[in-house]
Amino acid sequence: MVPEIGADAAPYIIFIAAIFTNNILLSNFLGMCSFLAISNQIKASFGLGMAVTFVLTMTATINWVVNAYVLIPLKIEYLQFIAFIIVIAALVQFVEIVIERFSPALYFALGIFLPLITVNCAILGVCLFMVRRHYTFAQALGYGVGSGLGWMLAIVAIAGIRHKLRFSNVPKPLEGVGITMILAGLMAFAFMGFAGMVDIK
Amino acid sequence: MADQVIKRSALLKWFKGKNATTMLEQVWAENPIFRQILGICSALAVTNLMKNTLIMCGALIFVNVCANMIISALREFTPRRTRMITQVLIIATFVIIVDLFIKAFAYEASKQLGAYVGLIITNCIIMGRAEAFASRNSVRLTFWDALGSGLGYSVVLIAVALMREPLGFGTLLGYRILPAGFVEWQLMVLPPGAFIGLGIFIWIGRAVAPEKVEEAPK
Amino acid sequence: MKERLYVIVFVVLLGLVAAALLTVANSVLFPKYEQNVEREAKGNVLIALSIPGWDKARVKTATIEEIKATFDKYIVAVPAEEKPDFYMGYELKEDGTKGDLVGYAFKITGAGFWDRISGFLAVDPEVEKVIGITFYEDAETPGLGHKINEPEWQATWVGRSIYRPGTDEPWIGITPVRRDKPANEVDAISGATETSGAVQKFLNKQLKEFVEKVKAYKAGQ
Repeated sequence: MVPEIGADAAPYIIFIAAIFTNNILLSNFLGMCSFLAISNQIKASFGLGMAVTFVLTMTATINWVVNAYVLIPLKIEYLQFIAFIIVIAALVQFVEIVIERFSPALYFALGIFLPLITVNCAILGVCLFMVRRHYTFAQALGYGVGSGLGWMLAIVAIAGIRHKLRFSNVPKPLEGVGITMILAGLMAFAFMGFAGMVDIK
Repeated sequence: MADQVIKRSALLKWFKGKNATTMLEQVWAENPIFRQILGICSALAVTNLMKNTLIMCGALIFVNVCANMIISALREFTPRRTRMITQVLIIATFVIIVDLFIKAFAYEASKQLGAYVGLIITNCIIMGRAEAFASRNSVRLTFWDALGSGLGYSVVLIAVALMREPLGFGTLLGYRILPAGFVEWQLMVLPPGAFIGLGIFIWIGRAVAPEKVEEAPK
Repeated sequence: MKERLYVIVFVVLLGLVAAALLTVANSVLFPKYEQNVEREAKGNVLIALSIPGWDKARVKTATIEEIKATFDKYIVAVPAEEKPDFYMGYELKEDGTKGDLVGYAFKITGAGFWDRISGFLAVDPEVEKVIGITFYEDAETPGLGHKINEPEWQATWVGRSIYRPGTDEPWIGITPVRRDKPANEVDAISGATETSGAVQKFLNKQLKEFVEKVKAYKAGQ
């Protein structure tokens, strides 16, 4: 059922790696668009990070099941993108309803960013990478949770730095996206130092 | 002689027409990456090699134009509540077609591009233009807008790749262009180089053509 | 109610049109993709077994028919081409039929530092020494891990023993550069500790499986 050969790493190692050495944002560049506008508010970044982590965990696992039990047996792997994005859209819709019910304040703070989680490259990216790497279910779970936390770590850290920068003399053309890119670059640089921290293979 | 003059003035007239301005606006003034901050993800991922960059740009333009034209054609019929899922479905269909195409005819590149071709689905440019333009304008204008934003995206990606591949590999499109003694900047090939490179380009882009600052309403 | 029905009909219709379009596209384009995969796999088996005249450049420019023809002449897949455990490579006699066994080749693949690494390892007919190694898929850091593709590094594998000295436990070490290495070790790529470690891990796992399978095959002959 699980094709060919999977990565040998234990799920908890994939989990740790997804946060530090294979950070979905700093190593794979995914999930930048929606956060660039929000990343100078630490609290909102945190809230968004939690929502994304939840969605990532659910979509990684559900899409793993869909891939293994529907797409592969029926030989319709080419419809993978469509199946995945529909699952993601449905799940985000569900999360929206839940948040609106239980925390109207957070719902209001996140605003348009909540439905935009659907098109957050990180979510679809995690699902696609999980398939490409032939992860088992447990590995996919570890990867989903880890990627979410790693993404959250990256954006909260960048939000924190941007918050500190608000009184600095950033050149006008560099304000906003530009300086955030450079920040992300330096942070990606730093995270590369984590390589070898866990025996990921 | 007379028809040369006519040809030139017709060309000039075209450039001033609605189609061209719609397109050109997307290429520079409202460039999706500099101004609207869309489509960053793939700008960072594939630009360490010019060949992959060109294939990615071609793929994006194809999907952007085709999907947005269909979205525009269906705009009167699409129920409001399902707008987003309809757009996503149409975009995903074209991305799958492009992905199959690249796997069939550019196999080496498809291995290197990996999941990033599929991620065109979530590329904010396509969704952004669908929501902001295609769902409200004619198919003909949508074509030019989509072509323009695709070109605007390509311009930025090619610029970044022009920096990353030579400095990181010493080559361009696989051909060695820097002297053999040149020590490659490993960093350009890896994520930090991509982020910082794009940051620098945005800096340059915005410095060269600053946004018009609007008067804040009193 | 009418609105709800319209929404459902719209989405379903859209879905059907999309699915139809994609099924057509898939049936046209997917076979070409499968061909690409096949030519890559078969071509690299030829390279690993050092079939005369076949290197990376040749595999890139050759047509699928050429590769298949050469493959069929020199190679036998065991147990079957669809799901091979390993490949057997032969010399060719003058009349074009298979002559002496030149070696065995099997696929090595696993998670590298960045993404998947795939290749083939070839051993001699006695299943004691390496006769070739090649990689055809990797996303390792250029100049570091990506150097596993360099002929100079791959050449250091030729002649290495596949067993730990004095035992019959198959294990090849990819270890830091040192003089007087045991016969079953090769030098790692300096600066590419992660990639080297990754390759060592999956290669040895698959080496062990291969040795078991080939011994069973030979016993059954």
